[in-house]
Amino acid sequence: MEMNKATFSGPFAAQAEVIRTDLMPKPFGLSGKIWVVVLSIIFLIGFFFYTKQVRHGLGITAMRDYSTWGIYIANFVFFVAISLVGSLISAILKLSGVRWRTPLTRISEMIAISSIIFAALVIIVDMGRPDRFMNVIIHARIQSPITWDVIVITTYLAISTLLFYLPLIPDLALYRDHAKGIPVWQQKMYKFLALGWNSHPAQQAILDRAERILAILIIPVAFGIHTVTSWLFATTLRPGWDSNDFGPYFVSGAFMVGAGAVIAAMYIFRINKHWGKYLTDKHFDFMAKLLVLLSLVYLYFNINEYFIPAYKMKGQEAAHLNELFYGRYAPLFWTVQVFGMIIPIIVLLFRSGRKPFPMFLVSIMVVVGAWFKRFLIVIPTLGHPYIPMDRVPESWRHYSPTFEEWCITAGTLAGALLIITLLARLFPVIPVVETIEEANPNHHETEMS
Amino acid sequence: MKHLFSKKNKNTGQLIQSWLVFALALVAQLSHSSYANAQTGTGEASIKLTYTESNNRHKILTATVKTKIDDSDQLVKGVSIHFYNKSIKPDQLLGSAISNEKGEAVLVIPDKKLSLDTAYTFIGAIEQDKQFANVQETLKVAEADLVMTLKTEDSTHQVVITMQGTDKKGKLVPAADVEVNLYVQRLFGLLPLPDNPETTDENGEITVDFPRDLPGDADGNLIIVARVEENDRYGNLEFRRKMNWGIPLLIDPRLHSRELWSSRANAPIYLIVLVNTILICIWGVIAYIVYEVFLIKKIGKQGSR
Repeated sequence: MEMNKATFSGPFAAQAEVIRTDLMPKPFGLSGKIWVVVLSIIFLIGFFFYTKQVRHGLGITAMRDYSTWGIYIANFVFFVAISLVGSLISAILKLSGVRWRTPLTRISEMIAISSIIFAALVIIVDMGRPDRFMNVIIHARIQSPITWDVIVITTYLAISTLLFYLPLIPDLALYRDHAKGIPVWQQKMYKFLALGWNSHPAQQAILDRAERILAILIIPVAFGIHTVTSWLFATTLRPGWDSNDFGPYFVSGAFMVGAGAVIAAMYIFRINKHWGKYLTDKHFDFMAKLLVLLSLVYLYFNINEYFIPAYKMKGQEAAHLNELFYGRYAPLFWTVQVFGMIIPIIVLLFRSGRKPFPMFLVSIMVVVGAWFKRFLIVIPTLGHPYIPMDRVPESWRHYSPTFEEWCITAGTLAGALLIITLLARLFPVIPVVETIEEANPNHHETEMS
Repeated sequence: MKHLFSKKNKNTGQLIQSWLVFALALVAQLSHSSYANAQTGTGEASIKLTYTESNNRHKILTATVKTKIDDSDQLVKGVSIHFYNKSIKPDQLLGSAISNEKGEAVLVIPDKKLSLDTAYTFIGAIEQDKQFANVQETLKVAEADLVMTLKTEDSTHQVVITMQGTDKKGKLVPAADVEVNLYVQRLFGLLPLPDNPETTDENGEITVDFPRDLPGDADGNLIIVARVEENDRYGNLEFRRKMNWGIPLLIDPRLHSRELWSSRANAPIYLIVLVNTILICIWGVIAYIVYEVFLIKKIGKQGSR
């Protein structure tokens, strides 16, 4: 509180007040309300079809004896991938001393939390008997990558929540003390969550230490969560999955889609809240360069994953690759590779491509491409078992998601966006105290000294 | 009052007494029927009755109860089925059973209740059920004898199945042209040997060469099953025998050692230690951070005093 008082009473007070007012969570406008209603409707439609699935079983999906994993698992991998952005911005950039990350940290943590919650929920959606979910824990085999995945998802959610919450405490205290015209429940919530924060040096020391520890801790856990997810595939003997570098392949792809998601969110917040001076062109430029770097790394792994097996073209692997390159999945495969990776790299290499609007379009291409990339990783492989399909119904040979599966999947995506929207409505999206401190000329002098 | 019991009125008194008894009996009967009607439901159910005889000993009646819901047959659980033997007069109640989740009410007919006959007529009935109206199904089956003998000739294992029915005098005679299935019991079901059922010859016999390459239990035991299934005349007959014609199953000792592919109880020690160490370390740090959060609150409280 002392720091807040000093900040808002010194020569820098007027500017601090402007920042505080600008970044304060505000009620939804008309577009915000429409956005929430549309997302809620999509979510409820998905929920309705999920209740149908619970009543009738997984028979309403297109999953059969061979394609036992469908778009639910592709969606799960997508959510896990996108959640990695929290560790990228909040941890890796923080520990690297990157200063421009400040306005992006909370956006990335919001995306991380909402995605990881829905990653966990999608696994339950994929279960034919969700009432038996506890058996996964009670009868867990510690040798199974599925058990490791359950452990690491829970751990990542816990750390991400702390990493979202701890840096938020000074901001909550700020609005506890200064926010006017907000509902009583919101005031009470800020007061409760602010934990009596008064900028005491001891509190600040604890907070700094805790954030540093969490930033270090989340990096191996983040690598773990997506590496373990890749092992769900790589530990099985199947064409397309039987790969030694599935772990780094997944992790690099996850960082890429995460960066794309942050850019898309940055643009939406910038436009919707008129935050051009907080989410500047420079921030977009930095994120674009980061996205190009991550895309190039992912491109490198794609070359390894597809072209080296294609050079050998052995057995069932050849059938799988032929279907991707020239067959049933070729249009989707090449669209994803070109529009989800190659074109974004080319566009972002140019200065004009690194402006907010082109970057927004590119980020949408990256995110949508990433979702369909997970579809291409999960589904085509299941159509090429090593023991050939013999005397099976025609519907078992191919997998095309049913209407119900699409609706449920759309519902989970809408649900994740709803959580981000709700968090952005309740909490400051850009760290306020940190932004004020960084805007204060004295702060830089102190840091330099 | 006195004159009421005089001789003159004695007949009148008897008449009134008779009417009273009749009226009471009528009321009792009417109330009973109305009670019975109140207890009997109006739903329509159907019963499929099957008869199974196992190893020529256990006689089993199974009633499968179904009802129509939205134009499709649904199995019904919890309905009481009464089984009768109609071969003797009056109908003899053999017993009752309640249908399970598969809609099946199963009665193992007690030996004492069914005297040997050339044929039987069984009834399965729903009576005074709260949900369904009364309905019954009749099944006629002829007494038969299914025997399986196992022999080895010139190092070939052979299964000989003999099927006998009864003539009018109750004497066992060979039953020709009866389809018999031969199976071997496996872990999750019955393996047909051969693929299609064989038909008995004029001696009521079938001989099948038995394969030598089927894995058995640790002692090489196999359970061989001969079945007459849903025969119009004889119902279901089954004969099971255990024989050590299988290849003894040698269990790989590695299945009991601590390996990555072993069961949950046999997880490798190094993996248990590794995973738990990582878990304790990471969750220990998380717990420490949560403790620090409480410290922030504690300092905040002290500062506000």
